[in-house]
Amino acid sequence: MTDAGLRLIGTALAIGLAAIGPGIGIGVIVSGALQAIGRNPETQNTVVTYMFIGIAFTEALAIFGLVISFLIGFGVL
Amino acid sequence: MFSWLSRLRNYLLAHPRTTILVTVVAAVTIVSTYCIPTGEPHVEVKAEPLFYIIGSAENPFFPFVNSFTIMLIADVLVIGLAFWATRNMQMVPRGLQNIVEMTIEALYNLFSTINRTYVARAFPLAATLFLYVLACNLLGLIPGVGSIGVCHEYHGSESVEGEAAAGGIFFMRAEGEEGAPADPNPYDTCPPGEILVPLFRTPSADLNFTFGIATIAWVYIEYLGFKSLGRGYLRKFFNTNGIMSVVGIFEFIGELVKLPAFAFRLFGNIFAGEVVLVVLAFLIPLFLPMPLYVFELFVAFIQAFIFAVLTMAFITVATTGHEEEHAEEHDDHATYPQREIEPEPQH
Repeated sequence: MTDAGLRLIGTALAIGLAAIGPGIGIGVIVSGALQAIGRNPETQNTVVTYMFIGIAFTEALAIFGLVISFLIGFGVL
Repeated sequence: MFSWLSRLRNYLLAHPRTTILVTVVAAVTIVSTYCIPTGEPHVEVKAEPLFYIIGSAENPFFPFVNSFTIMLIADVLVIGLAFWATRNMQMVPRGLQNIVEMTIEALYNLFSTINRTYVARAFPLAATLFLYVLACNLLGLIPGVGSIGVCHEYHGSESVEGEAAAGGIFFMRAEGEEGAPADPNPYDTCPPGEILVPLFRTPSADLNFTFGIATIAWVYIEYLGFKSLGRGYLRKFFNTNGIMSVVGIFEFIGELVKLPAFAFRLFGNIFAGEVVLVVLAFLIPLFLPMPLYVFELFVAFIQAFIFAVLTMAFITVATTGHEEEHAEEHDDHATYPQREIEPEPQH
Protein backbone atom coordinates (compact mmCIF):
# COMPACT_ATOMS: atom_id res chain seq x y z
CA MET A 1 0.00 0.00 0.00
CA THR A 2 1.60 3.21 -1.16
CA ASP A 3 1.56 6.54 0.58
CA ALA A 4 -0.66 8.08 -2.09
CA GLY A 5 -3.11 5.20 -1.78
CA LEU A 6 -3.39 5.66 1.97
CA ARG A 7 -3.92 9.33 1.36
CA LEU A 8 -6.83 8.60 -1.01
CA ILE A 9 -8.39 6.24 1.55
CA GLY A 10 -8.05 8.89 4.23
CA THR A 11 -9.60 11.51 1.96
CA ALA A 12 -12.59 9.36 1.15
CA LEU A 13 -13.09 8.22 4.75
CA ALA A 14 -12.94 11.75 6.14
CA ILE A 15 -15.79 13.11 4.05
CA GLY A 16 -17.67 9.83 3.92
CA LEU A 17 -17.87 9.41 7.68
CA ALA A 18 -18.46 13.12 8.24
CA ALA A 19 -21.50 13.04 5.97
CA ILE A 20 -23.39 10.39 7.98
CA GLY A 21 -24.32 12.44 11.04
CA PRO A 22 -25.27 15.68 9.27
CA GLY A 23 -27.31 13.68 6.77
CA ILE A 24 -29.45 12.28 9.58
CA GLY A 25 -29.49 15.63 11.37
CA ILE A 26 -30.69 17.64 8.39
CA GLY A 27 -33.37 15.04 7.83
CA VAL A 28 -34.60 15.48 11.40
CA ILE A 29 -34.52 19.27 11.11
CA VAL A 30 -36.43 19.46 7.85
CA SER A 31 -38.97 16.89 8.98
CA GLY A 32 -39.60 18.90 12.13
CA ALA A 33 -39.88 22.12 10.19
CA LEU A 34 -42.29 20.62 7.67
CA GLN A 35 -44.45 19.24 10.48
CA ALA A 36 -44.48 22.66 12.12
CA ILE A 37 -45.47 24.32 8.86
CA GLY A 38 -48.12 21.70 8.28
CA ARG A 39 -49.64 22.35 11.69
CA ASN A 40 -49.41 26.11 11.44
CA PRO A 41 -48.88 27.32 7.89
CA GLU A 42 -48.86 30.97 8.95
CA THR A 43 -45.49 30.59 10.64
CA GLN A 44 -43.88 29.39 7.44
CA ASN A 45 -41.52 32.37 7.00
CA THR A 46 -40.17 32.19 10.54
CA VAL A 47 -39.88 28.42 10.56
CA VAL A 48 -38.07 28.33 7.23
CA THR A 49 -35.56 30.93 8.44
CA TYR A 50 -34.81 28.99 11.60
CA MET A 51 -34.74 25.77 9.62
CA PHE A 52 -31.96 27.19 7.47
CA ILE A 53 -30.06 28.35 10.55
CA GLY A 54 -30.30 24.85 11.97
CA ILE A 55 -29.26 23.32 8.67
CA ALA A 56 -26.26 25.65 8.57
CA PHE A 57 -25.12 24.49 12.02
CA THR A 58 -25.60 20.83 11.16
CA GLU A 59 -24.03 21.13 7.76
CA ALA A 60 -20.99 22.81 9.28
CA LEU A 61 -19.94 19.42 10.66
CA ALA A 62 -19.97 17.88 7.21
CA ILE A 63 -18.08 20.89 5.92
CA PHE A 64 -15.43 20.39 8.60
CA GLY A 65 -15.06 16.82 7.39
CA LEU A 66 -14.85 18.06 3.82
CA VAL A 67 -12.13 20.54 4.71
CA ILE A 68 -10.17 17.86 6.52
CA SER A 69 -10.56 15.58 3.54
CA PHE A 70 -9.30 18.35 1.26
CA LEU A 71 -6.37 18.94 3.55
CA ILE A 72 -5.48 15.25 3.50
CA GLY A 73 -6.15 14.84 -0.19
CA PHE A 74 -4.12 17.81 -1.32
CA GLY A 75 -1.29 16.99 0.99
CA VAL A 76 -1.48 19.95 3.32
CA LEU A 77 -1.67 17.75 6.39
CA MET B 1 -43.45 -5.73 -9.94
CA PHE B 2 -42.65 -3.98 -13.19
CA SER B 3 -45.74 -1.82 -13.13
CA TRP B 4 -43.65 1.32 -13.22
CA LEU B 5 -41.90 -0.02 -16.30
CA SER B 6 -45.14 -0.57 -18.16
CA ARG B 7 -46.37 2.83 -17.00
CA LEU B 8 -43.17 4.37 -18.32
CA ARG B 9 -43.67 2.59 -21.62
CA ASN B 10 -47.24 3.82 -21.87
CA TYR B 11 -46.10 7.34 -21.09
CA LEU B 12 -43.36 7.25 -23.70
CA LEU B 13 -45.70 5.83 -26.32
CA ALA B 14 -48.23 8.54 -25.56
CA HIS B 15 -45.63 11.31 -25.81
CA PRO B 16 -43.47 10.58 -28.86
CA ARG B 17 -41.80 13.99 -28.85
CA THR B 18 -40.61 13.60 -25.25
CA THR B 19 -39.38 10.11 -26.07
CA ILE B 20 -37.33 11.33 -29.02
CA LEU B 21 -35.93 14.23 -27.02
CA VAL B 22 -34.92 12.05 -24.07
CA THR B 23 -33.36 9.45 -26.36
CA VAL B 24 -31.41 12.04 -28.33
CA VAL B 25 -30.16 13.76 -25.18
CA ALA B 26 -29.13 10.49 -23.60
CA ALA B 27 -27.42 9.29 -26.78
CA VAL B 28 -25.56 12.57 -27.27
CA THR B 29 -24.49 12.52 -23.62
CA ILE B 30 -23.17 8.99 -23.80
CA VAL B 31 -21.48 9.46 -27.17
CA SER B 32 -19.96 12.77 -26.10
CA THR B 33 -18.34 11.06 -23.16
CA TYR B 34 -16.25 9.03 -25.60
CA CYS B 35 -15.88 11.56 -28.41
CA ILE B 36 -14.96 14.73 -26.55
CA PRO B 37 -11.41 14.38 -25.28
CA THR B 38 -11.12 14.97 -21.57
CA GLY B 39 -8.07 14.98 -19.41
CA GLU B 40 -7.44 15.37 -15.75
CA PRO B 41 -9.24 18.28 -14.12
CA HIS B 42 -6.88 20.63 -12.39
CA VAL B 43 -8.10 21.71 -8.98
CA GLU B 44 -6.31 24.25 -6.85
CA VAL B 45 -7.17 24.66 -3.18
CA LYS B 46 -5.40 27.95 -2.78
CA ALA B 47 -5.62 31.00 -4.97
CA GLU B 48 -2.66 31.35 -7.28
CA PRO B 49 -0.76 34.62 -7.56
CA LEU B 50 -0.99 36.46 -10.87
CA PHE B 51 1.69 38.99 -10.04
CA TYR B 52 3.23 40.45 -6.93
CA ILE B 53 2.39 43.91 -5.64
CA ILE B 54 5.04 43.63 -2.93
CA GLY B 55 7.66 40.91 -2.96
CA SER B 56 8.48 38.31 -5.59
CA ALA B 57 7.82 34.67 -6.38
CA GLU B 58 10.60 33.61 -4.01
CA ASN B 59 9.52 35.93 -1.23
CA PRO B 60 5.79 36.55 -1.56
CA PHE B 61 4.59 39.31 0.71
CA PHE B 62 1.57 40.75 -1.06
CA PRO B 63 0.67 38.73 -4.14
CA PHE B 64 -2.19 39.74 -6.39
CA VAL B 65 -4.03 36.42 -6.40
CA ASN B 66 -6.65 35.48 -8.94
CA SER B 67 -9.53 35.68 -6.49
CA PHE B 68 -8.74 39.39 -6.16
CA THR B 69 -10.05 40.17 -9.63
CA ILE B 70 -13.57 38.90 -8.99
CA MET B 71 -13.51 40.42 -5.52
CA LEU B 72 -12.79 43.85 -6.98
CA ILE B 73 -15.47 43.38 -9.64
CA ALA B 74 -17.96 42.47 -6.90
CA ASP B 75 -16.87 45.55 -4.94
CA VAL B 76 -17.46 47.81 -7.91
CA LEU B 77 -20.76 46.09 -8.66
CA VAL B 78 -22.23 46.38 -5.16
CA ILE B 79 -20.97 49.90 -4.45
CA GLY B 80 -21.83 51.06 -7.94
CA LEU B 81 -25.32 49.64 -7.66
CA ALA B 82 -25.84 51.48 -4.39
CA PHE B 83 -24.72 54.79 -5.87
CA TRP B 84 -26.49 54.30 -9.14
CA ALA B 85 -29.79 53.38 -7.50
CA THR B 86 -29.70 56.38 -5.17
CA ARG B 87 -28.28 59.04 -7.48
CA ASN B 88 -31.73 60.49 -8.13
CA MET B 89 -33.82 59.63 -5.10
CA GLN B 90 -37.55 60.00 -5.44
CA MET B 91 -40.21 59.94 -2.83
CA VAL B 92 -42.14 57.56 -5.02
CA PRO B 93 -39.42 55.18 -6.23
CA ARG B 94 -39.23 54.08 -9.84
CA GLY B 95 -37.07 51.66 -11.75
CA LEU B 96 -33.83 50.61 -10.14
CA GLN B 97 -34.46 52.51 -6.93
CA ASN B 98 -37.68 50.60 -6.56
CA ILE B 99 -35.97 47.23 -7.00
CA VAL B 100 -33.20 48.06 -4.54
CA GLU B 101 -35.67 49.38 -1.99
CA MET B 102 -37.73 46.24 -2.29
CA THR B 103 -34.65 44.10 -1.72
CA ILE B 104 -33.53 46.13 1.26
CA GLU B 105 -37.01 46.10 2.76
CA ALA B 106 -37.35 42.35 2.32
CA LEU B 107 -33.96 41.86 3.99
CA TYR B 108 -34.88 44.19 6.82
CA ASN B 109 -38.11 42.34 7.47
CA LEU B 110 -36.27 39.03 7.39
CA PHE B 111 -33.61 40.18 9.85
CA SER B 112 -36.15 41.76 12.17
CA THR B 113 -37.84 38.39 12.59
CA ILE B 114 -34.55 37.09 14.00
CA ASN B 115 -33.50 40.00 16.18
CA ARG B 116 -35.87 42.86 16.70
CA THR B 117 -33.78 44.88 19.14
CA TYR B 118 -30.53 45.06 17.19
CA VAL B 119 -31.77 44.93 13.63
CA ALA B 120 -31.48 48.70 13.13
CA ARG B 121 -27.88 48.74 14.30
CA ALA B 122 -26.63 45.53 12.70
CA PHE B 123 -28.61 45.76 9.49
CA PRO B 124 -25.99 47.65 7.43
CA LEU B 125 -23.34 45.02 8.16
CA ALA B 126 -25.57 41.99 7.73
CA ALA B 127 -27.17 43.26 4.52
CA THR B 128 -23.79 44.22 3.09
CA LEU B 129 -22.45 40.78 3.89
CA PHE B 130 -25.42 39.22 2.16
CA LEU B 131 -25.22 41.33 -0.98
CA TYR B 132 -21.45 41.12 -1.22
CA VAL B 133 -21.19 37.38 -0.69
CA LEU B 134 -24.07 36.85 -3.10
CA ALA B 135 -22.32 38.98 -5.73
CA CYS B 136 -19.06 37.07 -5.21
CA ASN B 137 -20.75 33.66 -5.39
CA LEU B 138 -22.75 34.45 -8.49
CA LEU B 139 -19.84 36.09 -10.32
CA GLY B 140 -17.82 32.97 -9.64
CA LEU B 141 -20.37 30.85 -11.50
CA ILE B 142 -19.95 32.72 -14.78
CA PRO B 143 -18.43 30.36 -17.37
CA GLY B 144 -14.80 31.25 -17.92
CA VAL B 145 -14.01 31.78 -14.27
CA GLY B 146 -11.30 29.28 -13.48
CA SER B 147 -10.79 28.23 -17.08
CA ILE B 148 -9.44 31.37 -18.77
CA GLY B 149 -5.93 32.12 -17.71
CA VAL B 150 -2.33 32.78 -18.55
CA CYS B 151 0.60 30.41 -18.63
CA HIS B 152 3.03 30.76 -15.76
CA GLU B 153 6.27 29.03 -15.12
CA TYR B 154 5.77 26.04 -12.90
CA HIS B 155 7.83 26.01 -9.75
CA GLY B 156 6.14 23.23 -7.84
CA SER B 157 8.59 20.40 -8.41
CA GLU B 158 11.54 22.39 -7.08
CA SER B 159 10.03 23.11 -3.72
CA VAL B 160 9.75 20.87 -0.69
CA GLU B 161 7.90 17.58 -0.99
CA GLY B 162 4.96 18.63 1.14
CA GLU B 163 4.51 21.92 -0.65
CA ALA B 164 4.76 20.30 -4.04
CA ALA B 165 1.92 18.00 -3.21
CA ALA B 166 -0.25 20.87 -2.00
CA GLY B 167 -2.21 22.41 -4.82
CA GLY B 168 -3.17 20.18 -7.69
CA ILE B 169 -5.27 17.08 -7.54
CA PHE B 170 -3.19 15.59 -10.35
CA PHE B 171 -0.18 15.35 -8.09
CA MET B 172 -1.95 12.53 -6.33
CA ARG B 173 -2.06 10.55 -9.56
CA ALA B 174 1.28 11.63 -10.93
CA GLU B 175 3.49 8.73 -11.79
CA GLY B 176 6.54 10.53 -13.10
CA GLU B 177 9.16 12.32 -11.11
CA GLU B 178 8.66 15.63 -12.84
CA GLY B 179 5.18 16.12 -11.42
CA ALA B 180 3.51 16.16 -14.81
CA PRO B 181 -0.04 14.83 -14.96
CA ALA B 182 -0.32 11.25 -16.10
CA ASP B 183 -3.13 12.13 -18.50
CA PRO B 184 -2.58 15.73 -19.62
CA ASN B 185 -5.50 18.05 -20.14
CA PRO B 186 -5.95 18.58 -23.91
CA TYR B 187 -7.50 22.00 -23.36
CA ASP B 188 -4.44 23.21 -21.51
CA THR B 189 -2.46 24.75 -24.35
CA CYS B 190 0.45 25.86 -22.21
CA PRO B 191 3.92 24.75 -23.31
CA PRO B 192 5.52 22.02 -21.19
CA GLY B 193 7.01 23.22 -17.96
CA GLU B 194 4.38 25.93 -17.64
CA ILE B 195 1.03 25.77 -15.91
CA LEU B 196 -2.26 27.52 -16.56
CA VAL B 197 -3.07 30.07 -13.89
CA PRO B 198 -6.70 31.21 -14.15
CA LEU B 199 -7.28 34.93 -14.25
CA PHE B 200 -10.43 34.62 -12.20
CA ARG B 201 -11.40 32.58 -9.19
CA THR B 202 -14.47 32.69 -6.99
CA PRO B 203 -13.50 34.73 -3.93
CA SER B 204 -15.63 32.48 -1.73
CA ALA B 205 -13.51 29.54 -2.86
CA ASP B 206 -10.47 31.26 -1.38
CA LEU B 207 -10.08 30.61 2.33
CA ASN B 208 -8.44 34.00 2.91
CA PHE B 209 -11.51 35.82 1.67
CA THR B 210 -13.98 33.83 3.75
CA PHE B 211 -11.78 34.14 6.83
CA GLY B 212 -11.62 37.88 6.24
CA ILE B 213 -15.33 38.49 6.14
CA ALA B 214 -15.90 35.93 8.90
CA THR B 215 -13.51 37.94 11.07
CA ILE B 216 -15.44 41.13 10.35
CA ALA B 217 -18.72 39.48 11.30
CA TRP B 218 -17.26 37.79 14.40
CA VAL B 219 -15.57 40.93 15.72
CA TYR B 220 -18.82 42.83 15.29
CA ILE B 221 -20.75 40.12 17.15
CA GLU B 222 -18.30 40.25 20.07
CA TYR B 223 -18.34 44.05 20.01
CA LEU B 224 -22.12 44.14 20.32
CA GLY B 225 -21.95 41.54 23.07
CA PHE B 226 -19.56 43.66 25.11
CA LYS B 227 -21.48 46.81 24.35
CA SER B 228 -24.84 45.45 25.50
CA LEU B 229 -23.73 43.40 28.50
CA GLY B 230 -20.54 45.16 29.53
CA ARG B 231 -18.49 43.00 31.86
CA GLY B 232 -21.41 40.63 32.14
CA TYR B 233 -20.50 39.37 28.70
CA LEU B 234 -17.29 37.88 30.07
CA ARG B 235 -19.20 36.52 33.04
CA LYS B 236 -21.12 34.38 30.57
CA PHE B 237 -17.93 32.41 29.95
CA PHE B 238 -15.90 32.73 33.15
CA ASN B 239 -17.84 32.53 36.39
CA THR B 240 -17.82 30.65 39.68
CA ASN B 241 -21.40 29.63 39.64
CA GLY B 242 -21.37 25.88 40.20
CA ILE B 243 -22.14 23.93 37.08
CA MET B 244 -22.40 27.11 35.05
CA SER B 245 -18.65 27.58 35.29
CA VAL B 246 -18.13 24.39 33.29
CA VAL B 247 -20.85 25.35 30.84
CA GLY B 248 -19.18 28.72 30.46
CA ILE B 249 -15.91 27.14 29.36
CA PHE B 250 -17.73 25.16 26.71
CA GLU B 251 -19.53 28.28 25.59
CA PHE B 252 -16.22 30.06 25.33
CA ILE B 253 -14.83 27.34 23.09
CA GLY B 254 -18.01 27.49 21.05
CA GLU B 255 -17.58 31.22 20.73
CA LEU B 256 -14.07 30.79 19.37
CA VAL B 257 -15.13 28.05 16.97
CA LYS B 258 -17.74 30.36 15.46
CA LEU B 259 -15.04 32.16 13.48
CA PRO B 260 -13.60 29.15 11.62
CA ALA B 261 -17.09 27.69 11.31
CA PHE B 262 -18.22 30.83 9.51
CA ALA B 263 -15.21 30.74 7.22
CA PHE B 264 -15.20 27.02 6.47
CA ARG B 265 -18.93 26.87 5.87
CA LEU B 266 -18.78 29.37 3.05
CA PHE B 267 -15.47 28.11 1.69
CA GLY B 268 -16.45 24.46 1.86
CA ASN B 269 -19.79 24.88 0.19
CA ILE B 270 -18.62 27.06 -2.68
CA PHE B 271 -15.34 25.27 -3.25
CA ALA B 272 -16.93 21.82 -3.10
CA GLY B 273 -19.55 22.98 -5.57
CA GLU B 274 -16.85 24.16 -7.95
CA VAL B 275 -14.94 20.90 -7.66
CA VAL B 276 -18.09 18.90 -8.34
CA LEU B 277 -18.86 21.00 -11.42
CA VAL B 278 -15.33 20.66 -12.76
CA VAL B 279 -14.99 16.95 -12.10
CA LEU B 280 -18.40 16.20 -13.59
CA ALA B 281 -17.68 18.31 -16.65
CA PHE B 282 -14.58 16.24 -17.26
CA LEU B 283 -16.45 12.99 -16.61
CA ILE B 284 -19.60 13.59 -18.67
CA PRO B 285 -19.16 16.79 -20.63
CA LEU B 286 -22.68 17.39 -21.92
CA PHE B 287 -26.05 17.93 -20.23
CA LEU B 288 -25.37 16.23 -16.91
CA PRO B 289 -23.58 19.24 -15.34
CA MET B 290 -26.58 21.45 -16.10
CA PRO B 291 -28.83 20.49 -13.16
CA LEU B 292 -25.83 20.70 -10.86
CA TYR B 293 -25.11 24.17 -12.16
CA VAL B 294 -28.66 25.19 -11.24
CA PHE B 295 -28.13 23.65 -7.83
CA GLU B 296 -24.93 25.67 -7.43
CA LEU B 297 -26.89 28.85 -8.20
CA PHE B 298 -29.20 27.88 -5.37
CA VAL B 299 -26.26 27.12 -3.07
CA ALA B 300 -24.70 30.49 -3.93
CA PHE B 301 -27.86 32.23 -2.76
CA ILE B 302 -28.41 30.05 0.30
CA GLN B 303 -24.84 30.44 1.55
CA ALA B 304 -24.98 34.23 1.28
CA PHE B 305 -28.34 34.13 3.06
CA ILE B 306 -27.01 31.87 5.80
CA PHE B 307 -23.94 34.03 6.34
CA ALA B 308 -26.06 37.11 6.98
CA VAL B 309 -28.77 35.34 8.95
CA LEU B 310 -26.24 33.59 11.18
CA THR B 311 -24.60 36.93 11.92
CA MET B 312 -27.94 38.23 13.14
CA ALA B 313 -28.67 35.04 15.08
CA PHE B 314 -25.28 35.14 16.80
CA ILE B 315 -25.86 38.79 17.70
CA THR B 316 -29.04 37.67 19.44
CA VAL B 317 -27.11 35.02 21.35
CA ALA B 318 -24.30 37.42 22.26
CA THR B 319 -26.52 40.23 23.48
CA THR B 320 -28.64 38.15 25.87
CA GLY B 321 -27.06 37.43 29.23
CA HIS B 322 -27.73 34.39 31.34
CA GLU B 323 -29.69 36.33 33.92
CA GLU B 324 -31.85 38.02 31.36
CA GLU B 325 -32.65 34.87 29.49
CA HIS B 326 -35.17 33.69 32.02
CA ALA B 327 -36.53 37.12 32.75
CA GLU B 328 -37.00 37.80 29.08
CA GLU B 329 -39.00 34.70 28.54
CA HIS B 330 -41.71 36.09 30.75
CA ASP B 331 -41.90 39.69 29.65
CA ASP B 332 -41.31 38.81 26.02
CA HIS B 333 -44.97 39.12 25.34
CA ALA B 334 -45.16 42.41 27.16
CA THR B 335 -42.23 44.06 25.39
CA TYR B 336 -42.96 43.06 21.86
CA PRO B 337 -46.49 43.16 20.61
CA GLN B 338 -47.08 39.74 19.20
CA ARG B 339 -48.51 39.51 15.76
CA GLU B 340 -52.19 38.89 15.97
CA ILE B 341 -52.97 35.42 14.75
CA GLU B 342 -56.11 35.67 12.79
CA PRO B 343 -58.76 33.12 13.58
CA GLU B 344 -59.15 30.54 10.91
CA PRO B 345 -62.03 31.23 8.58
CA GLN B 346 -64.98 29.02 9.29
CA HIS B 347 -66.04 26.88 6.45
